[in-house]
Amino acid sequence: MTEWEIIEQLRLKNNEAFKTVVDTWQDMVYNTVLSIVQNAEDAEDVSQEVFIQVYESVKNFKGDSKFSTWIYRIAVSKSLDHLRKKKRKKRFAFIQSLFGKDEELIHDPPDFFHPGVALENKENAAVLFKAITALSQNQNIAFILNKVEGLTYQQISEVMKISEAAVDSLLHRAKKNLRENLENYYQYHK
Amino acid sequence: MQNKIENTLSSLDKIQPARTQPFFYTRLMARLNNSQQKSWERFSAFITKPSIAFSGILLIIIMNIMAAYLNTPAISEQSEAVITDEYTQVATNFYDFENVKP
Repeated sequence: MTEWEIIEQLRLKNNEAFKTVVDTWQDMVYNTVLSIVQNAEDAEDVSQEVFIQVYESVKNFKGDSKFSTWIYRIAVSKSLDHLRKKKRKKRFAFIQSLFGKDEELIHDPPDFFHPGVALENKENAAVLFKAITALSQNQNIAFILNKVEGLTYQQISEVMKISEAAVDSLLHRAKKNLRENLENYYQYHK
Repeated sequence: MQNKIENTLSSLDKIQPARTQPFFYTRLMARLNNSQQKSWERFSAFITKPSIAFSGILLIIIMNIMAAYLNTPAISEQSEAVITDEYTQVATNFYDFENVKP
C-alpha cells in the first residue's frame, strides 16, 4: 500500500491502516515526545494521544505537507500542551500549599536519562537536557528536532512552519544560550 | 571548563532513537476504544443533567413560539375579501326577495 492509500483507508477508519501508521511512526513519535517531555511514562501517554489525534483528524490532512511532517507537528504540539498542563498543575499545587491545603507538592523533575545515549555520555546528556528545558519554546523544539531526531533545516522548517533562515537563527541562538547556561551550571557545580 | 561544555554539547551527537515499549499498539487501541466509549458516556451524562435538559426544552418551546409568531401571515385586504366571500352564508330562500338569483 502506498502512503496515500494508507491515508485513504485511515479516513475510512480501517484498523489495518491505523496499525500500519502506528507501526511505521511510533518510534519517531515516541522519541520526539520523550525528548521534549523528558519522562518515559508521560512520553508513552502523549504518544498515544498523538496517534488518537491522527486517527480522529486524518480527514483534515490535506496533503500539502508530508504525512510524517504532519505527525511531527501533532507530536510537538501535544508535547508542548503536556508541558503547559504540568506547569499549571505545579503552580496550582504551590498556591494550594500556601493556603495550607494538604496537597502534595510537585517537585522539580529528577535528571532525565535518554535511553539512546551511550553510557559514557549519560551524565553530560542529562545536564544538557536540563539546560534545554531553560531555552525558549521554539529554540527548544528546533534543537531537539535537529540534534535528537536528526532532521535537516528544511524538514524542521516544514514542521515548525517557518523559513530555513529562521531555523538557522533559532539553532544558532539555542547553542549560544546553551553554552551560557552550561557555563553557569559548571561554575555552580565545581 | 570550556572542554567540559564542549563535551556536554556534543553528548547527543551519536544518540540512538528511543523505542516504545512492546505492545504499544494494543495499549493504544484499548485507550482509543475507552476514549470513544467515554466520549458517548460524557455526552449522555451532559445532556441528561437537569439544568441542561430543562434549558434545552425551554429553548425548544421558545423557538416554537417564535416560529409560530414570525410565520403568521398578515391578512391582506384582498385575501380578507376572498375569505369573506368564501365563508359568508348567503341565504337563498323563499323570503329572500332581494336576492333573486338562484
